[in-house]
Amino acid sequence: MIRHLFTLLLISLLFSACDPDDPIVPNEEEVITTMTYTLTDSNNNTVVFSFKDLDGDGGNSPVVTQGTLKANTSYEGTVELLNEAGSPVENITEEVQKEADAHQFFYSSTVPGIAIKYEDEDNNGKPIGLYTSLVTKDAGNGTLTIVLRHQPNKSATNVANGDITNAGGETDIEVTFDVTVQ
Amino acid sequence: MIILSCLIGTAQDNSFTLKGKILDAHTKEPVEFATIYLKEKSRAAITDSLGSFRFDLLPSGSYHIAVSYLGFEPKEYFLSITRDTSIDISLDQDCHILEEVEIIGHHHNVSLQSSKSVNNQWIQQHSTLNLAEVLQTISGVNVIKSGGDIGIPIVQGMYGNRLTILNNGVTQAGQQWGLDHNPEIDPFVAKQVTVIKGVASLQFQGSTLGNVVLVEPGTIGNEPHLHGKINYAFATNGRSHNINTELKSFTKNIGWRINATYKKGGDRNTPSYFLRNTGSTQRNAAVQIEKSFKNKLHSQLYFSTFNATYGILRGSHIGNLSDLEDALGRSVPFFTEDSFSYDIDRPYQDVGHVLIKSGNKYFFDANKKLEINYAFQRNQRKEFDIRRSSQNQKPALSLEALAHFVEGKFENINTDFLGINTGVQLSSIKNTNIPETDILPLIPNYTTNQIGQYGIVSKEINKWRMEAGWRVELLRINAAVISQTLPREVRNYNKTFINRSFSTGVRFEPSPLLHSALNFGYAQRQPAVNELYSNGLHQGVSGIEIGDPNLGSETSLKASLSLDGKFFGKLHIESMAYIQNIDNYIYLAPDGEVRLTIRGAFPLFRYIQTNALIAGWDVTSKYDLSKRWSAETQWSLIRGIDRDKNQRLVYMPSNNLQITLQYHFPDIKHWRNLLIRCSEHIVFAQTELDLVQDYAPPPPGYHLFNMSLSGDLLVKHVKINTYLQIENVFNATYRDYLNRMRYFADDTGRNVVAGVVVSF
Repeated sequence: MIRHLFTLLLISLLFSACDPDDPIVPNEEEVITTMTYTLTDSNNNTVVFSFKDLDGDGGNSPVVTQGTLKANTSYEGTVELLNEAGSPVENITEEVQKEADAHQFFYSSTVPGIAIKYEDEDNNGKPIGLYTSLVTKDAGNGTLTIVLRHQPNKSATNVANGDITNAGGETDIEVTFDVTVQ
Repeated sequence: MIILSCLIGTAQDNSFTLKGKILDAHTKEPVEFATIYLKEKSRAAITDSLGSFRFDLLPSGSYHIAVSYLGFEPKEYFLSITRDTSIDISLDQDCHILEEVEIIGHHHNVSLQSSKSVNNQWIQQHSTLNLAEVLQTISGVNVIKSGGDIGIPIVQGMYGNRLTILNNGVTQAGQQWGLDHNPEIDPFVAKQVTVIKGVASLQFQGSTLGNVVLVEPGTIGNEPHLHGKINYAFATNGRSHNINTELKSFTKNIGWRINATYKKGGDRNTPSYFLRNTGSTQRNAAVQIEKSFKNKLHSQLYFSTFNATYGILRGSHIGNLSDLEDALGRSVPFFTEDSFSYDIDRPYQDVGHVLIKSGNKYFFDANKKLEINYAFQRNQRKEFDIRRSSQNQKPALSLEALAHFVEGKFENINTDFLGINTGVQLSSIKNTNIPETDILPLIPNYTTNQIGQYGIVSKEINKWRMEAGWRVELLRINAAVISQTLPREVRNYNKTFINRSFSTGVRFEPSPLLHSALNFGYAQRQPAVNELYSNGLHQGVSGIEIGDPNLGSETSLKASLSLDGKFFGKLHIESMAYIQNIDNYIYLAPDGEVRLTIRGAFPLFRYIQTNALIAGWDVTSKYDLSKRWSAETQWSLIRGIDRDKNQRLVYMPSNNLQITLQYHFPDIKHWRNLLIRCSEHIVFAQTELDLVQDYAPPPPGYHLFNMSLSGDLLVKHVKINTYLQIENVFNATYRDYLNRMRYFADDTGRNVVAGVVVSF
């Protein structure tokens, strides 16, 4: 009798609690899916560079839009960050602006003559990089890399001048575009 | 073991004699210079060359006696003396040399598979260490560290999913898949911790290929007085305070024991800088209650809770591969501060574990017993990373595992025909991602249900002992995986595995001082959930890890040859050579491909299978230079080879050698067991790894010099053990291949630990 009860107990244990809880698909509120770098010249002509990757770390390739710049031209640059994975679409730019002292963008280009300067600053007078100016010189080809660092050391050597070498922190964004200047 | 024979004495004015002999339990040789301390009278005796001691003129009454000798586990007894009394006491050898371990409880049933233990005394004197570090003294055991206080044991090349840890007989249901996931067990609860360097594990449930770690709280006994221990230690590196207390007694036929631990430490330091955010805190407790019914049924209730917060080196937190490359190039990690701090900030881990067990043993007679155990476990793990928004207080990983375990075991030893040990075990584990992270989970929600049956038969003929056994395990894994593609959807996977294990062995023991064993084992391990279904970015290592739902089981074939002996009365040798072939060995391999994301490109790693061969040799030798001086060397050699790719396996320990010189001082007044040890630990570089297998080449070899001084002060009923240990005496700068922080920072510098254990 006891043996039967025991067997019954064993079997019921094996078949009860067999299924895992259905996972709740998280609302990935911290994800940045889209970065747009818009360059506007004095005639209000715009050139847009954008990187959009809706599935995050998933296997689908991102959609990249790249543009052509005019030689010897000055542009105003603005960055916009979005999370388009959920609905409604979230504007992450505001969040970066709010925690400006914990964020900094770094710009670098391999195209000879391109100069990018910060046009904004946080409460401590250090650059953020949401607003920039970009000046082109001669025609050429190359890349433009934009990096957003979280919790960089903005006081480290040359970091305020846009040199990423000593910045530290974590990379939130690192995107490279092909650029043509003509 | 104590054999008490009462001589028919004549009562003369309440003056009785207590005399006896102290013997080595293993060799049956008398133990000279052992101390026998009679607490009530504050009198001590030392054994002579025949192991004999004697107390005269004792009034009748109850006495506590404590027996100790260096290299042996100390013992305490409670005696009533109403006439002249003679006792024989067998002492068990201490942790290192020549110890055989009782694996199955009550009876002295020794498995043929090689096992070594550390006892409570060792644990008490190393109270600042975690479970894995406590075991590192055993040859063939290493630790994979993740900085700070995080470390997992690696036994003869097996770790994580391949190494089962049993907490009071129950397979630990934690999150063993992560290399940075400490076993959630406080070593203080253990009477001893045993490492079985086996060829197949038959009696224990768990996905293991032979090696097992047993954390054994031991029994309480029936000593009616209140006894206890208070342990305090301070370590300079990390400025940690470590407190443990234990109380036990046997009242109203119920034995009870309470154990509690508190530890708090801050930033550790290398010889030249502080390792920011490497502090940790721990709050653990355990309660054990035992009752015996008519000496037939022994019941135990056990409850333990483990709660830890582990800081993780701030400079090791990275966002993408360029961050990692930046960090690798630095001599001092990012975020290093000039001052020490106890603060623990992000990134950190919060871990909780609860075990409740009911154990029941029924003894039919001296040889036959039936055991029925039930256990429940709850494991919680939250990992807090640096989130993009500092307002975000949510963890990046939050897991809860609930586990039930039931087993029935029957054992019949010492029969003329065959010794039998058999049992059935069932378990059910449910692992859930708590939906509070707002991040896609790395491993899915899953349940594992399993049932296993084993049997071991043994036979002894003269000096030979033979053993053969089997285990069959049926497992079902159900997983609910969130897709990586949009729209996100939940996919359910079910997989069933049958693992079969067999082992056989023979032991030859020509004399009590010499034995040799040869073991063969065949074992299977099903892929773990992370190996099957993980999919996503593993933040700590900056790679995207992809599981393979079609992986099959690993199959291991292992042979080991061990020799333990004492030669010429002075030289102890303990040697074990092993070779293990694992077909379908599962590991995480770089795919060669990178995946482009908005945070840059990440390398892809996939779980794949290969054929692996692991071979090694652990050898310890101890030479008694004189009564007081002894020298010991401990070699541990290991090689792991990927036979398909003809390259080395990653995360295999480097070859290492430890040389120890020890001096045992003569007793001074009330001081006993005064001992000084100096040791040199030499770790060779891990060689021949291909650069594509890792982010950085293995660091060069190093050697560390350590010293320790300890002694017992006896004051009436109280024994005060004090110890001073200096690790890395010369403050050497080094990095260890098995420390995952080596990519970012140097290893820890000099550490001075001062501690005191008061036992009453």
